[in-house]
Amino acid sequence: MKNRLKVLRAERDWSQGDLAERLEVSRQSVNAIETGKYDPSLPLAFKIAEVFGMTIEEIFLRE
Amino acid sequence: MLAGLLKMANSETRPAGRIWPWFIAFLVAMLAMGVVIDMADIQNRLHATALMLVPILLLVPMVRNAMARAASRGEAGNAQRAYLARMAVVSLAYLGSLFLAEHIIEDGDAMTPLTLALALVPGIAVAGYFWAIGRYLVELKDEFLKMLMVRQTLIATAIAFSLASIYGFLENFEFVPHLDAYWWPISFFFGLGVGAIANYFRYGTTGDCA
Repeated sequence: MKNRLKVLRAERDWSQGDLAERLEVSRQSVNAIETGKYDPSLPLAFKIAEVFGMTIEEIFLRE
Repeated sequence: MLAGLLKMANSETRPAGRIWPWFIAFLVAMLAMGVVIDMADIQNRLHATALMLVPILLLVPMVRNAMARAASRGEAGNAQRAYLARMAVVSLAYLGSLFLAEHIIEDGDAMTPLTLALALVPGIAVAGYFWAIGRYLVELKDEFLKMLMVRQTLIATAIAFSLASIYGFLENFEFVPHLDAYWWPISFFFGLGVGAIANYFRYGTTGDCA
């Protein structure tokens, strides 16, 4: 699944570590989600959406 | 002891050093010591066990560095710190009980309640490693790292059971010499290493407990 995490993170000038801290996950998790190697669970996807103040559909895109 | 180690791990604030160089040094030292024991023709199992303890000391800085790294991740590193502390306690129990059993039980000794108990403890201590892995999976909150550890454990289990099955039948038909069963958990730990490498190639990281 594609996502806009990298762009959204860059807009806020957050490092992967900063985002990981906000999501309470490891930096490896953020990197794996951002690069499309791992699709987050629904609860984590909701948390990501909450952190960016957006909906899940605005962040994650169907291939 | 576990509580003490956990406390130490939680208060660990020094910068995290590297982990892999210590692990590679440990493997090389283990191999070298094995060669030395073989070339020096050391037959006494107690002496051989004592000599094998020397390379194991290289794991101490490795575990300390891993704990420091986990501590630098704050709350997110709690499960890893607990895992490392449990592994350290189990390792001490294993090495201590093995050393004691080798010291007291001679080859051919009759089975008594004491010798049976001494012979049981190292194996039970090894079971502690599996308990520590199970607790880690239960306590780990990071879903991605949990998935990596599950993959790693499944790969290790598949390797250990496959090797045991293949070797078991070869041994059954007397094509290979007898192998003590404790080699299968050892092959599981080797499999964890293979699983970590598989994770690295698939997800770009070995996870927390490579």
